[in-house]
Amino acid sequence: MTVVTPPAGRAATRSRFKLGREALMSIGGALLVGLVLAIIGLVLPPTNYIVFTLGFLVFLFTAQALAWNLIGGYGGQTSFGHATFFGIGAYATALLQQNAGFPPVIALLVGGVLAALFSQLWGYPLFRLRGFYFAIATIGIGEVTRLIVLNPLRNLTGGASGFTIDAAAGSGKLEQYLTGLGLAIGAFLISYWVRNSKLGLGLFALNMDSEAAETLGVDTTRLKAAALAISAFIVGLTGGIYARAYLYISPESVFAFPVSIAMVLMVVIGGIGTLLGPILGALIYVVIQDYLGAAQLTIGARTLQFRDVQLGLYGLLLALIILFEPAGLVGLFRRMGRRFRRGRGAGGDATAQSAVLNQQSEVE
Amino acid sequence: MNPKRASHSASVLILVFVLLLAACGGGASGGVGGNQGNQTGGAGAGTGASQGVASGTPAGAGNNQGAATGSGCAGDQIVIGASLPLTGKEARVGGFYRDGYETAVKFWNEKGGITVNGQKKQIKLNVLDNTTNPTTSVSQYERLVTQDKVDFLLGSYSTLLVSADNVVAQRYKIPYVNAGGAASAIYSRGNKYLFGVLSSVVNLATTEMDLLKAQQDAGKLKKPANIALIWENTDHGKDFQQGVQAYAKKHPDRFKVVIDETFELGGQDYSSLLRKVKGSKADLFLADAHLEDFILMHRQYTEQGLNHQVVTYGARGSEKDAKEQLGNKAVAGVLSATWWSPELPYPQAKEFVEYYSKNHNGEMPAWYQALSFEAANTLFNSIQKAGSCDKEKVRDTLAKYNEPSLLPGNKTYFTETGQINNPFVVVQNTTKGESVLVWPKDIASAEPMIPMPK
Amino acid sequence: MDFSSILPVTIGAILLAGLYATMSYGLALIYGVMRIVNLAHAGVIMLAAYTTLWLYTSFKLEPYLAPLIVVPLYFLLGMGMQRLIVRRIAGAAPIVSLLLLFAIWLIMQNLAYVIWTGNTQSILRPYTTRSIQIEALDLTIGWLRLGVFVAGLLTLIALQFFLSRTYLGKAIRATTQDRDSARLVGVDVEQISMIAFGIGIALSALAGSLFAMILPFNPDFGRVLMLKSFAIIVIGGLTSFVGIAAGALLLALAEEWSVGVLGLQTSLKDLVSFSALVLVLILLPNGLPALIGRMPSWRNKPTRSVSPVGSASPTGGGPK
Repeated sequence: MTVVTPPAGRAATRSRFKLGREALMSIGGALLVGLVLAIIGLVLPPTNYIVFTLGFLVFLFTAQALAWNLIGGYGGQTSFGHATFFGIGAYATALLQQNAGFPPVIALLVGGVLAALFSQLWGYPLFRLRGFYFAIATIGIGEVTRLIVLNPLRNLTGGASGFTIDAAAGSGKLEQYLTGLGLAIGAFLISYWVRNSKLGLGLFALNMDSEAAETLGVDTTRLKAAALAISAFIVGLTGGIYARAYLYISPESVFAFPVSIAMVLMVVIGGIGTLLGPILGALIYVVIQDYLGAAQLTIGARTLQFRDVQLGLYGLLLALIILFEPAGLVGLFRRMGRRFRRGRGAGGDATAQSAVLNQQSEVE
Repeated sequence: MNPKRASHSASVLILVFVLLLAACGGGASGGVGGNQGNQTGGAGAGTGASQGVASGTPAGAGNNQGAATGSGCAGDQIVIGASLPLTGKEARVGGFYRDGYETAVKFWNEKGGITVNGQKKQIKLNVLDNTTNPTTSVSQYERLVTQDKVDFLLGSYSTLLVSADNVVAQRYKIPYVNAGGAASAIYSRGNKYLFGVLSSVVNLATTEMDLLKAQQDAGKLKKPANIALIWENTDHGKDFQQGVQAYAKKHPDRFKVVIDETFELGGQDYSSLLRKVKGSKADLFLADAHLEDFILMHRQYTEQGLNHQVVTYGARGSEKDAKEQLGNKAVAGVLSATWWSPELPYPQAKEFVEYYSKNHNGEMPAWYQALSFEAANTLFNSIQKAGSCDKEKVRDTLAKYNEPSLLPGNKTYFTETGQINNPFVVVQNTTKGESVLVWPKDIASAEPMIPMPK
Repeated sequence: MDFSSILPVTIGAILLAGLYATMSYGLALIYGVMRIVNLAHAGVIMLAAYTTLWLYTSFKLEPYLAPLIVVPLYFLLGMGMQRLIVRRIAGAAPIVSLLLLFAIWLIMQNLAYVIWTGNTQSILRPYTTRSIQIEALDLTIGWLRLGVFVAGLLTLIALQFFLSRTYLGKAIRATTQDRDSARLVGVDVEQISMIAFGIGIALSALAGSLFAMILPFNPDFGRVLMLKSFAIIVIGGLTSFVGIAAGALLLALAEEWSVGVLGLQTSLKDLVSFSALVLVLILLPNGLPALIGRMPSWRNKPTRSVSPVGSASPTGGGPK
């Protein structure tokens, strides 16, 4: 249940041949930004913390959030189980590289493919379930997967003690940065493509009204499965890149519930179903974690560290967004922009502002 | 939103991000760094503040292996960095470790600091909070090295975080001394910048089994005795399990493991596990657990009316928290093999206990504070012995380190893997809520109560 | 296989089921009336546990008496929550209520963290670990566990009575079955929703207050329990309280038997319950009652809206 509605008339005029300019702007813009960031990475020394540690995390989270948005935003299927894909990508890459001697690129790709395959394993049976049940079942899937990695597979995965990759086989700072950047740009382009493709149209349709979509002959299960597979593939790749960069993974760090939650939070706070929301969400997430981490507030005798109230602030932000600005921060900025322009007498932007979060559910 | 506007906004947004990065490099992080640290030395906010994106560091190497800084110790102080779990799951112990580190820094600074190149330098400790999250923990160590430009690193607590963090030490070739990772697996990965003052949990098991063997010889314990072996599903627990199993195999006439069971770290309910233990008719209850799990498990142990001749939870048992949450009576008789005890008769141990309690209103230190103190102390001592802040020189000094210390065995040294290899001491809770040293025999202050009081 | 342990394991499972059932009623009631899944359930359990601790440490109130205060308090809190926040999103898409209640859970966790720190707490009384020993059968039964079991049973009886004999209860049932029809026959649906939400929160709080005596807790307390509650209410057919009690018993038996009788490692116990959650959702989306073919409860005919499978389901579309 998302925010994106194809703007009125876009679907009608959307023909392959007329896409030209818009597509060029989006794709070109993304590539240009990617190029600038790549140059920054190539110029700076790899010990720059902001760029190579935080920037890298922003890229990974951006890719994850964009990927989650494909199924959770466009398709309206809230998944609390995306950590499984991250974990599978991470463990598959680590194991293939360390124990089977695969070259990194192959190991990464296989990790992504395995995550996509795994998504189909539970996707098909669960897509029959409606909103709530799907969401709760994904929590269950997440926990089951984590526990399987932790216990029955402990001889392979190292169990709760985690798994280490040899430092020599890991990725260097520059490689981390560039692969992370590449994946983030790639995820953006894929999101853009899905949004403007038949797949995206179908997803929006089933998100708005699943039954109506079915009646019109949309194979909703197949569409959801396709979106989930793409989503899982991207998240699986982020897992592999993470494993190669951090050199140590454990169920606690890659399969845990908070990993799934982070993706949901980033997307919803940034703007669910939008193209830029997930990017904004990821950026804010990392900045909050790193920079506000040390802020503190003294009330009387008690000093509150920002970290102590971080969780509650996310909660508050989430609640406010859901109650008042369902399109997230992107929606907020857009609203502010409109007001600003109106103030200057410019014509109002008639872009369909679809607050689908407000949409009535089919249950009632 | 239409694609055209999307692309415009995308470009704007990402460019804003780039600018933000540049800006943060200069201002925000430096300013924040100041209050993030736990000032024990001077005000050291400035270390990384001037490093904007444009200026960067002069490190030449194009890849990650480039060392972060040269010989360090610029100015009149030595900056030590650490990231600890001060909030989240391990918050309690994380606090103990910060306490231990701070005590060591204060101790050294009161003596004038560390002598490097014939010049006394004060120590400044920069502690960050990783909220018990391994990803954050690694990022923070990177931050400490690359941005805050600390000279040396002290470790985190719990095997999980140390396993994740020590990679940073290896990447930037900077010594990392920890008192938080005991599992031998961490040290088997060839990281030559990693040093640990916690002996392997295998030794813990062996020490406890030695004690039990002596009790059998004294006729106080059944022989052969059946063992219920319960361990947490981590490297820590696995070391313990292997230690006990190996010992039992070596002495088949004395010990027999009748139940060998794992449980998940941070479990919610152990009653079914304990029911199984009850069914196994074991004589000895040998478990390895972390603090929270020990408290829950022993509470349910008492509730189910279990009673074994010997009860141990590995290193846990003598903690004040347990006595407060379970009552003195419930934990009376529980044996715990720990890395340290305030009763150790060595002069270094006595000096530490005295110094610690003087600075903590008479409170006694537990092994957590003692071991973290010793990790810091070992690092400072090595810097002084090396007479330099050169990371390689200090690393080499650490590798050869062999000095009398407050630890059991009265010395600190590192084996080839970088882990210390000391014996353990066994303490037992009395019915009055104290914990007395019962093993090894030559330094024990009391006879062990075996079998356990009912 | 260890057959000698069947009796103690089964008895342990039955006592555990009392615990499981008590914590699931609130979730089911709220689902029934408002058709939302209360993700703040874990937070309520946790906060109620802390409230019990606070009542004990500050006012020396015996923990077993704490429900007398906790239950009305959380009833009011629940009504307030419904009126001020949850009502705004009534009828919105599932993700909206899920995320909103999740946000409330985060805030609750943080509140507990700021007030009581993240350290694990427990309440210790002389009777905490006291138990009944039956030597002949090799049985040990903790008094508190027995007490919680009895409390769960009494709650079930009281709920059944309330729903079948009182006007308010009947109105809640009517609203659960068909909101629009209830409105047509003159039920103030808004009012009823608020009261039912309050009762639901009060029931979760009752569970939390009882747990506080048995288990240690920290701000993250309740997460695993909440997932188990989901499994239980799905097994139990979502709104039938007798079904939920049966679901709780089934889940507890599955967990305890797999470890105690079949000899599974204890570390796999939670795997059993979470697999049950997923499998039940996939295979038995209408719960046990649908399998048995009748609803052994106050709900007589299943309506479409109760089924988790939409009409898009390959198992055949429900009536429109």
